[in-house]
Amino acid sequence: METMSSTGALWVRRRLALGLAPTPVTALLLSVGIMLGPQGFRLLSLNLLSYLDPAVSVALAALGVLIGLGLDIRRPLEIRLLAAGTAEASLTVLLVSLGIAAVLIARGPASPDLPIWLLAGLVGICAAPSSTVPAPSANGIPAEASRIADLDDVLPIVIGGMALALVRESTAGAAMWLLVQAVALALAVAVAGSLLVEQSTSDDEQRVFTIGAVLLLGGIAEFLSLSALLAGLVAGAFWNATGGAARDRVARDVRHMQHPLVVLLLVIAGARLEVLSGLGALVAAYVMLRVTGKLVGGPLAGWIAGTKVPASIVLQWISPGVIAVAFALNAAQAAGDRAGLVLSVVVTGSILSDLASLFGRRSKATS
Amino acid sequence: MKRALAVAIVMAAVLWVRRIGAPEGSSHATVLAVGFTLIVASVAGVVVRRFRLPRLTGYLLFGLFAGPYLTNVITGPVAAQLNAITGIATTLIALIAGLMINVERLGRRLAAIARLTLVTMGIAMAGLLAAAWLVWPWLPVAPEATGVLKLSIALLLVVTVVSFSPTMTAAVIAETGARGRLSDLVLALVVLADVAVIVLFSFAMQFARFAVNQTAAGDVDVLVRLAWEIGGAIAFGSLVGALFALYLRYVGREVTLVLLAVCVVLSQVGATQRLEPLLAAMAAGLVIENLAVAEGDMLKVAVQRGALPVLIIFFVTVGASLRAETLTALGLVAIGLAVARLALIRLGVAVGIKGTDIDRPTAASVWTGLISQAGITLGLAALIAAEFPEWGSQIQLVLVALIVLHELIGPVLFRLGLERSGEIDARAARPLIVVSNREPYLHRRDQQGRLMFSSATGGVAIALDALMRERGGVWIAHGAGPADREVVDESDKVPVPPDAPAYQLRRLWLEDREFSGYYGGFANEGLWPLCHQVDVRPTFRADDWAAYQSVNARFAAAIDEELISTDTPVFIHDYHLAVVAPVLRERRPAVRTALFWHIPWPYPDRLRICPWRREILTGLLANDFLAFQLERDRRNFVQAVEEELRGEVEADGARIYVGRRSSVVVSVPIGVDYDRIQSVATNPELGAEQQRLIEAFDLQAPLLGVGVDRLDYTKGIPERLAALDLLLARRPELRGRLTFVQIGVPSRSTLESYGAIEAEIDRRIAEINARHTVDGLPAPIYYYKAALNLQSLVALYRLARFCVVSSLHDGMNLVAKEFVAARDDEDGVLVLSALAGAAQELGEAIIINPYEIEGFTNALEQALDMSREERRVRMRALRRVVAGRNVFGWASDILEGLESLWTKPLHYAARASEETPV
Repeated sequence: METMSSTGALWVRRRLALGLAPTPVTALLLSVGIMLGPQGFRLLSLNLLSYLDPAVSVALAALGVLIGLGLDIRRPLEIRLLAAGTAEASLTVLLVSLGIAAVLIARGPASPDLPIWLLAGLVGICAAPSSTVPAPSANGIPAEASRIADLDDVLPIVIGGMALALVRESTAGAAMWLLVQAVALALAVAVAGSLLVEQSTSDDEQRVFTIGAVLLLGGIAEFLSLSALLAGLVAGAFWNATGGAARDRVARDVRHMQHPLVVLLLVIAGARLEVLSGLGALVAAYVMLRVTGKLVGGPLAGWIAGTKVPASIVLQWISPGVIAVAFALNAAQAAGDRAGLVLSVVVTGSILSDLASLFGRRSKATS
Repeated sequence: MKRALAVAIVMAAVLWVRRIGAPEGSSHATVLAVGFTLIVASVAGVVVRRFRLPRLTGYLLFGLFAGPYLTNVITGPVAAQLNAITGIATTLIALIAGLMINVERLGRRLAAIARLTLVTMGIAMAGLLAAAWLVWPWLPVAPEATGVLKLSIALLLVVTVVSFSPTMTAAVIAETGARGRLSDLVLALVVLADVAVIVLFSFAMQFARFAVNQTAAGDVDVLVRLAWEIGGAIAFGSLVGALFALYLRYVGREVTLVLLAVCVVLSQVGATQRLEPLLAAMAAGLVIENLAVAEGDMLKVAVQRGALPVLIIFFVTVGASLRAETLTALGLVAIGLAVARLALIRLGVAVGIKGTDIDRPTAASVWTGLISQAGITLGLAALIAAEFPEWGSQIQLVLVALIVLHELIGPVLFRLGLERSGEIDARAARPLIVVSNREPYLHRRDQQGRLMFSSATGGVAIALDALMRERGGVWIAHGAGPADREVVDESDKVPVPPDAPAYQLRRLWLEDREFSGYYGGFANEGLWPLCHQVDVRPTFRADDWAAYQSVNARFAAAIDEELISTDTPVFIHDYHLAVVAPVLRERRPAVRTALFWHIPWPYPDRLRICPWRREILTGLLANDFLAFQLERDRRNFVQAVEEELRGEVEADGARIYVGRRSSVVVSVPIGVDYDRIQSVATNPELGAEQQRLIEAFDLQAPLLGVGVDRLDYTKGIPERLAALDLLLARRPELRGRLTFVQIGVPSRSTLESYGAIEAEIDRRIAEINARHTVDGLPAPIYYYKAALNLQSLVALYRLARFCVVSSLHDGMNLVAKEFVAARDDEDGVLVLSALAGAAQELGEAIIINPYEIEGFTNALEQALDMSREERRVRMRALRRVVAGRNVFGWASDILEGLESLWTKPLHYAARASEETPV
C-alpha cells in the first residue's frame, strides 16, 4: 500500500516536473460536466445549456484561431510534419469510422435523419486529434514528435467542416459551395479584424476588436450551422500568414480567453451527454480502435517525418485532448439532436481514452 | 479610412450570411449579433471621441440609430437576444461600482459624502414634489388623481426622477480612465443615493398600494417585505461576495469565468427571489473591496480585462430600446422635468457641500456626475407600470423620455466635469509612484529665515522629476531637508516642484538612530561595498539589518497608503529599498512594481558574504520587473537566484521562477537627460558662466582636464591623481600649461571609509601641487569640494580638453555620458575606466584600467596629443550612443516593460552584450 502511494506521489511529482497537471484534465472536466448536467445533479439543465450554446460557438472559434495561428508552413519541415500528422490522423479516422459503422449497422439505424456513413465519419473525425504534447525543452521529447501531435488536429477540422456542410445540405455540390462561402466569410472577418486591430492604439480597444472578430467567426458558423473550428482555423491561418502587429495582438487576446472557454466547453460537453441504448458497444469500439489507430499511426507518422516517435509520446497521443470534444460539440450544435450520438460516444470515449493514456503512462513511468 | 473599410467588410459579411440563411428550424443569431454590434459600436465610439464626446455616447447613439425604432438594422428579435446580456451586464456594472468604493480610502470623507447625498436628494425631491404638485393638472400622468393617491403617485414619480445611475457613472469613469477626488466622490455619492432611492422606492410603492387600496397587508407585512427586498439583497450580496473572495484567495483560477457565473447568480437569484439584484451585486463588490483587499485587486484586474465588451453591448442595447417617438411626444414635459431636476440637484449640491472639506474645484463639478439615468430608473419605471398599469404606464413613458435626454446629456456633462477637474487625462498620463531614499526637493530656511528649496542635482533625480511632472502621482522619499516638516500637510505631502506643482512629494520621517542603521549601516557599510569590488570590506550587523527591514516596511506602508489603484505602477529605486516589495505585496498582492538596481550586482561567491542574501534576493524577486544596469549584473543576479533560491530561469533568460512566483529580470542601461544638457550647452548665457568659472577657479592654463565625482572610494580618485602625478613627471613641459579641475562632492562623510578617502585625496592633491607647481603659473590641480549645478558643469565640460572617469567599479557613471552630451562642439576626449558600466556602451572613449598607472598615464598623454580630427570622429560616435539612450528612454523601457507584463508579450530578452576587455 505504502509502495503504491509513494509510486503515485513519484508519478505526480514527475508530471509536475514536466509542467503537466497531475490529473487527466479533460476527463476530469467532462466528468464534472456529467455530474452537473441532466444526467447528474441537474444544476445545468437543458434550458440553461441552451443559454450557453452561444458561448460554445465562441469557444470553438477561439480554439480554431489558436490552431490556425500555430500553423506556419514557412517553418522548416512543417509540410512534412503536417503530412505525418495528417497520415496518423487519417489512419485513426479510417479505423474508427469503419468500426463505428460496423457497430451501427449491427445494431440498426441510429438516427432517422443522418446516414450511418456520415455518423460514423463524424465519430471517426473526432477520434483523430491528440492531446498536445509538452514543449520539447521541458522533457527532451524530440521537437518533431511534439509538433506532429499539434498538427494532427488540422485534417479533422478540415474534413469535419466538410462533413458538417454535408449534414446541412442535401447534395455534395451544394455543401461544397456553402463551405467555400463560409471560408470566404471567415477570411473577410479576418481581414476586417486585422484592419481594426492594427489601427487601434489601446489594448482595451484591441481586445474588443479581437473578441468581436472571434464572435463573428463563431456567430457565422453558428448561424449557418457549420464548423466554428474551421472558421477559426481559416482566420487564424490568415492572421499568421499576414503577420505583423495584428497577429501578435490577436494571439495575445485569444490566449487570454482560451482557458476559461476550454473549461466551459468541456463542462458543457459533459453536461450534454445522453445515455443512449447501445452506447457501451460504440464507446468500446471507439476507444479500442482509436488506441489502435494511435499506436499504429505513431510510428507511421515518425517514418513520414523522418524522426523517431518514442512510445511515451504515442501513449500521450491516446489522450484525446480538447479538440476532439470540441468537434463533437460542434457537430452536436450544428446538427442538433441528430448528432447527439456523436457527442455521447466522444465524451465517454474521451474520458476512457484519457484514463487509458494516464494508466499507460503511469505504468511506463513506474517501470 | 481603414476602420471604415473594416466596418464595411463586416457589414457586407453579415448581410451575406443572412442571404445564405440559417437552415430550417435554426435561429441562432445571438453570437453573430453580438460580434457585429461589438465591432460597429466600438468604431462608433472611436468616431464620437473625435468630437470629444464619451465613447459610450457613441455606443448609445449606435444602438438608437440601428435599433428597431429607427433604422431596424438591429431588429426586434436581435435586440431581444442582446437584451439577454443586459441582466448580466447591469449586475457586473453594479459589482464594479461596489469594487470602486473603498471605505478606508474615503475615510473621514465618507460622512461628508453621506451628508452631501442626503442633502442633495432631500432638496431635489422636495423641490420636485412641490413642482409636481403645482403643475399636476398639466402633467400627463394622472391629472384626475387627488388627495392621498395624488401624493403617492407624485412620490413615486419624484423618487424615480431623482434616481441616478451608478452604472453610467462607473462606465464613464471606467471608459475615461479618470482617477481622482471627483470620480471617487461622485461614484460614492451615486452608489449611496441609489441605495437610498431603492429604499425610498420600496416605501413609496407600499404607500401607493395603500393609496389605491390594492393591498390589505398590515404594517408588519410591509416591513417584512421591505426588509426582505433590501436587507435580504444586501445579505445575499455580502454572502456571495464573501464566497467569491474565498474562491479568489484559495483557488484563484478561471476568475473571468467565475465572475460571469457570479453575475448570473446575482442577477437570476435576485430577480426570482425578489431581492434587488443591483443592490446585491453592489454589496458583493463592497464586501470584496473592503474586507478582502487583495482579492479585490485580483478581481479588478479580471474585470478590467473583460468589462469593456460587456459595457459596449449593454449601452447598445439600452440605445436600441430607446423610443425616439416618446421623446417627441413628451418632449416638453421631459425637458421641463430635466431642467427642474438639474437646477435642484445643483442647488442641493451647493447646499450640501457647505461645511464639508471637499475642495472647491471638485465641488464645482460634482453635479455633472449626477445627471445620467439608465438601468435603475428604467427598472423602477417598469415596476411601476407593471403594478399600476392605469397611470404607471404614463409614468414609464415620462421616465423613458427623461432617460433618453439624460443618457445623451449625462455622460457628456460628466466627462466635461472630469476634464475640468483634471482627472480625465489620468489614462493618457497615468500617475506613477516613485520611491527612493533621496527626495527630489529639500526645504530649508536661509539666514533671513525665509523658506527656500533646493532640487536634487543627480541626473536620475532630474529625469524622474521630469517624468513625474508629466505623469503626476506621488514620489515617496525620506524627508531630509531641515525645513521639510514645515511645508507638508497632515498626510506629510507637499506639492512639488514648489514653483509649479505637478505631483506630490510624500515625505517619510526617520529617526536618526533608525536612519543610521538603515542608510549608513546596512545600505552603505554593507550593501555598497558588497556590490562594488574595491578594497573596502562590507560590514554587516544584525541591528542594521533590522533597521533596514523596518525602514523598508515603512516605505511599503507609505506606498500602500498612496496607492489608489493597483494598476498604478510603482517604480522603486536602488539598493536602499531591496525589501520593500515583499511587505507591499503582503498588503497589495496585485500591485505592479519595478525596481531598478543602480549599482553593480556582485557575483555569487562575493554575495555569500552577506548573511541575509536570501532575504535580499527574495525581496527583489517580489517585484514584477527588476532591472540592472548591465547584462553582467543581470547574469550575476540570475546565477545567485539559481544557486541560493533554486530558482528556475525561462529559456530566454528574462523570467525567473521561484516557487509559484515569477519576475522578469532585465538589463536596461541608464542614460542622461540629453536634451536638457543640449539646451544648456546651446544657451547663449553659457559663455558668461564659462568666464565666471575661469575667474573663480583661476583657470589660466591653456589645457584643462576635468573629473567630477562624489568623494567615494569606488571612484578611483587616488589612482587618477597618481596618473596625473606620473604624467607631470614624465612631461614637465605640461606644468603650468595643464590644469586638472577635480570636482569632489562630499558624501557619507560620517562613515569611516569615506572620511579616510576624503583625507587621502586632500593629501595627495596637496603633494602633487607642491611637487609640480611652477612659480607664477597655475597649480596643476584645482580642487573644488562642492557640487556644481548643471549649467556650471556643462560650462566646465566644454572648457575641458579631456574628462577622466576612473572608477574602480561603477554601475554606470553618468559623468561620462554628461560630458559627451555637453560636447555638441564635437571636441574633447573621454578617458574612461573599463570598470565603469558606461564603458560597455562608450567604446570610442580611451578605455583605461585604473589599477595600472602606467597605462592610465599613457591614456592621458594620448588624450592631450590627440588630433582635432580624431577627437571629432570619436566624439561624434560617442554622441550618437548617448543621444540614442537618454534617461527618458531608460525610464520608459522599464515602465513599459512593467506594463507589458499585463498587456502584451514581453519584448525584452536577455541581451548578451559584448564586454569591453580591460
